[in-house]
Amino acid sequence: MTPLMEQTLEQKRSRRLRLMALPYPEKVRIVERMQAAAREIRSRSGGEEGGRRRPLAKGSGGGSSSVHFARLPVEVDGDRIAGFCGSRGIRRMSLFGSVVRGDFDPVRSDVDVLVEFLPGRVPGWEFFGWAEELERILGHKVDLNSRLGRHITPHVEGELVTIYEQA
Amino acid sequence: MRETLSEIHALEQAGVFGRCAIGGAMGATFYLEPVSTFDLDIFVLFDGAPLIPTLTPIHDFLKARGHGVEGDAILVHGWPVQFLPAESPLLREAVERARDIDFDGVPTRVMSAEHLMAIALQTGRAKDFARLVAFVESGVADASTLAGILERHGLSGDWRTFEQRFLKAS
Repeated sequence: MTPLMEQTLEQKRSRRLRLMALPYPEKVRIVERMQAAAREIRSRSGGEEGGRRRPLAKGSGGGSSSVHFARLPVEVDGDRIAGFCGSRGIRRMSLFGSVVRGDFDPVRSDVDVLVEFLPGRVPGWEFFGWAEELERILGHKVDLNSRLGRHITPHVEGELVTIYEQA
Repeated sequence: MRETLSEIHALEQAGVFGRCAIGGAMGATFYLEPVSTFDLDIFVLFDGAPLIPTLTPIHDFLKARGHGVEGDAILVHGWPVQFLPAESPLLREAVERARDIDFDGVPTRVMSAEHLMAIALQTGRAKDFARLVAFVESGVADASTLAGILERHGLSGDWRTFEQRFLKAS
């Protein structure tokens, strides 16, 4: 590791420790400021892009999912999703939660995404960076899951909508 | 958030539910650096443990005090609050053993760091693993307390998998 990298990491560590040591009410005020900024950004982008609906794009998912696709409140670019999944060993990508239930709030809601991998393709740390790229494709904040917790699974299994599946 | 917590305290005082505690991202923020989140997750225990826990009394109480529903949350003084029944043994224990704190004069409770970690492990989404790593790196949790919770709730194997995947590889 270079001295510059070490210095950068040390600065990040110091900043994190400083933030951790703040009293809880002060931390909450920081969160509230972050919320206000996020709402501002989302309301601006929502005004420009709101109300997008598009039927199933070619090259992704297919089959019976097309009916659900047409109802999704987010735009799914099938080609980009296929590219995203194909390069990461993702066998199937599905949506669940508010985006498929009909109570999706374009300002507040995350798009809940579940990915399943091809056998032997288990990602490491890079998994945490994928959501950002997926957010750019879907145009919304994404909650990316590689598996569902045991107490959640029974509640969402019935609402999974597959948007990509490797042929 | 002081006013929001004050309303939640009023709910508890009125006996609408038995005991509650802050969990989720805002619970983790008590111990870690602040994170961007929109919801305040309040886990609640119901006295008498009804067969089918219902949040209707909570919603009715808050609606009567002028708070409105926003999606699956109730907007209380600007904060979307999600009330979640602490149904599983782990969640129940997390609420029962939550620590009492004072938020600008309002009494409230936050789940322990160790319980928040166990819940994140059990929930198992990407953001839960990221939070778990942040907890580990912060060193705020007591290892033996965490081990006890994981053992009691059958999560020791999941923890070993998490360690192998996210801690030992780095």
